[in-house]
Amino acid sequence: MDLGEFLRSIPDFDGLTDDDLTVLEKAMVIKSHDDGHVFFSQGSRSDNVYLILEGEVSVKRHINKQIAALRLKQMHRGELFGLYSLITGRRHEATCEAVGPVKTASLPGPAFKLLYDMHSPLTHHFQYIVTRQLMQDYRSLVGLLRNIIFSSDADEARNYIDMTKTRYLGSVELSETDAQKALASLLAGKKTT
Amino acid sequence: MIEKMLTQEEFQDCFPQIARDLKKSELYTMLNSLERCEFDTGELVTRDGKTVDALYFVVDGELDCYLENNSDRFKLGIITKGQYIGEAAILDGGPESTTVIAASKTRLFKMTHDRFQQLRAAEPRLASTLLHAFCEVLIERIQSSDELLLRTLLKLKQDPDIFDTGTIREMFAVVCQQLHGYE
Repeated sequence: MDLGEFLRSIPDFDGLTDDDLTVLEKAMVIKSHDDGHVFFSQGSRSDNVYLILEGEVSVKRHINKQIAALRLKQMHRGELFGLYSLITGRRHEATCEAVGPVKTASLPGPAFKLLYDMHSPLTHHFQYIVTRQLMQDYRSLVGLLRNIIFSSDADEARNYIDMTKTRYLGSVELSETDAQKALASLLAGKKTT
Repeated sequence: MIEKMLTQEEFQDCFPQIARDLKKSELYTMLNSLERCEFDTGELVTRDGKTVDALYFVVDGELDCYLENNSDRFKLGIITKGQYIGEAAILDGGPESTTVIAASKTRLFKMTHDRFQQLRAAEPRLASTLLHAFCEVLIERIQSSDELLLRTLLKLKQDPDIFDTGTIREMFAVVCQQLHGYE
């Protein structure tokens, strides 16, 4: 499938005209990335908007630099990332990393800015997509918390807590000492990032 | 005589960030897109799990915000002037995640989903300004709850058996409050 065809198959791009999608197709650069490639790190400035063509990208937020990171989510084919920072000019709030080989189509920052400043419907649509993505993250977190809060007994609560741990702490097991260190650091208010 | 339309001054006072980013003509369109509605104390505005067809801008009064599950209810906090209700549903059409009940006589202005979609097509810059405001609120809430969630999970990882169900509920309820914008 070529890029144009792929863009037209993404449900999120339904509201865009053929002309908008052609502009996007021409401005995007396709690239392959190895496993572990860091697209951008938390705290850095933005340079591109990425669309995942193949593979998966993890989104992590480090609360404590040495030990603890919350795995916010895993992004898949057809999803965009790197957009919010570009729109707002803020530093990235999370680190995005390839999980296995990943192929992306990226829109360079200056091209996006130009389209944004021209009030292209394309960039307004991007804003809509990113807000909706954020809302989905928000809903997903509220859903997990709700399950724990309304658990009928301790076992049910523990099951949901385990799901939340797996979802946000990931599969990396913290040792008792690491957990204690991270907790002590957080309680002491030492925010290292 | 009751003012049906929200005045420019009131909107600027309640939603300065949005007002600041709108051009004069867009602000006018925005005000014309809003419909006044009032709720008396105890009246239901949204119900947790049910769909809502509008976004509400709170201009006057206070509303209680709850998480609800069958007969179980947990108060998250109070919504006041300058806040919105129903921004989730306007984006994805999904159900509301909270029950909101007027805690006093309340004046809201609502924008229907249909109107918002019309604005997205006809006034994309205006719609983007609203989306930007929602984004800012969401990012702030998600980030501020991240650290608390991590701290809570680590506490439980350290010694999961020392907490009873009530304490666990309380610990996660605090995270949930933070996520909804209540300290």
